[in-house]
Amino acid sequence: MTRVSMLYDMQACVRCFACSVQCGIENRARLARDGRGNTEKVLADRRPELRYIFPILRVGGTFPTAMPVTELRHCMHCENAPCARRCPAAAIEVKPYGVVVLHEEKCIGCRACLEACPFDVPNFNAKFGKTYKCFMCYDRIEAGLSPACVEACLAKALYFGTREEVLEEAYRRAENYEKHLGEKFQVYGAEKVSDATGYLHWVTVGPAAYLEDYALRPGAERGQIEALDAVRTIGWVLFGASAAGIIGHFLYSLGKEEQE
Amino acid sequence: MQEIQTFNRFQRTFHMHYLHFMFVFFLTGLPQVAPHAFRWLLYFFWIPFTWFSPETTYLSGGMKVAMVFHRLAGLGLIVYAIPFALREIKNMASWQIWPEGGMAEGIRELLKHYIGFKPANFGKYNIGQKFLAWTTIVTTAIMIVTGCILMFKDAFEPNTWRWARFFHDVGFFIFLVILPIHIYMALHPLNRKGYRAMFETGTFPEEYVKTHHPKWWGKLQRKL
Ligand code: SF4
Ligand code: SF4
Repeated sequence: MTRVSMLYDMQACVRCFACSVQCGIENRARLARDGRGNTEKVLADRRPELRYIFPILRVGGTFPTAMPVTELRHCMHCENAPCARRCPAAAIEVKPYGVVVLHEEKCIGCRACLEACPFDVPNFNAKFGKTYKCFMCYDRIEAGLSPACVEACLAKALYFGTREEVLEEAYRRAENYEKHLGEKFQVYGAEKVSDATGYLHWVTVGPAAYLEDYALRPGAERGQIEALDAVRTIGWVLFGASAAGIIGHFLYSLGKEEQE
Repeated sequence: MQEIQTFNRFQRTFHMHYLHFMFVFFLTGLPQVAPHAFRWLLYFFWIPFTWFSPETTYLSGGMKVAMVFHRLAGLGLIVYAIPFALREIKNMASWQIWPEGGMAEGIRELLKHYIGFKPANFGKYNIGQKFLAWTTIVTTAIMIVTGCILMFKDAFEPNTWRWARFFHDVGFFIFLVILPIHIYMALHPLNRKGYRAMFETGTFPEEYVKTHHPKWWGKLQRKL
């Protein structure tokens, strides 16, 4: 199956956060669909972790040039999904079309994925002992629909399609903005952003100068996460070396006797 | 023949039980450190458990049981290690794991024993064993501290968990590298007497100490 991707265009976004509202609605509809309660019940439970895309407010810069910066937090659907690699219960599946799906029913709530994610995406609910994160409406995608947030976006700031379509659209928009605004724009996630994550299936178009404030670090490296991957590789190599040494010495010992 | 006490009873039982704990730590920890390669281990934890909780799968149920065992073993080790550590610290003056004779000599003697198959001029412990002892002490401390952070996650920030996980992994790989060597050397015919001392008698024959641990013998003579 061909890879799919999402595009978030910071420039086109009008900050209405209809995507976030729609995400919460869609996930409650899923609960009702799956027989986890009727409409009233699923709406009565306040479950903030069911909004997989939401704004995070912060202030960029310092007085007097400080300005509010709104980060739109969501799963990046990383190419190498460190969360999926670390999940001991195999609850996180990487679909062949690139979407990273956390299956709630398989999750044991160990929170290894919270540690593994450089973007602080997975959300743990202590009451249910489960972790939640965006799965890019893979059920809708598989049924030929767009993710719910895309449908809700009135400014076409969210755009969904095959990876090729999305990248083409992203570069087209970036180029267009650069031409009209005379500022450098970046397509974040089109290329590898860190060793642990690889490229992202959720790319972001935004002014290059602004991306960092927006928490999209130019590189998504996070020391401990990369270091853990490194130590796991080095560790197995050293184990191999020690095993080889043991076998070598064993063969060397064969037929030898201690001399007094 | 005269026998010389090498390990006391507490040291021998502690060693024995550390071995048991390690066995549990490895079996229950491997599916966490390398999930894709060692998930199959979870079947063994899951099968008895299905009787209580038939709706689980070997992944979810097995992993949970494994984690519980991992933590129980951790608590057990901590509880057991405290009196052991206190007693050892009290006897620090008679520790034989301090450096003696320098690195180059240590390695030369080690090669003489393991490559030349000749009795070497060792103290109670050779340089490899001293290195092993210190590494084990330090790594055990790392594992206990980071393990507690991971066990009581809620009291810490995710960034702290990340560091804890990193050092817990470093400790795991240190053990993964040194323990096979330790076990191999313990089972090697060259060290038959050491094995006997640790698992059977707690003592070395006097003759053996004279020929194989002359430095230690010297110390023992001076002490008498
Ligand atoms: S952004 Fe985080 S949760 Fe999403 S795929 Fe990457 S590591 Fe996993
Ligand atoms: S919290 Fe759930 S999804 Fe995350 S790593 Fe643990 S079992 Fe996997």
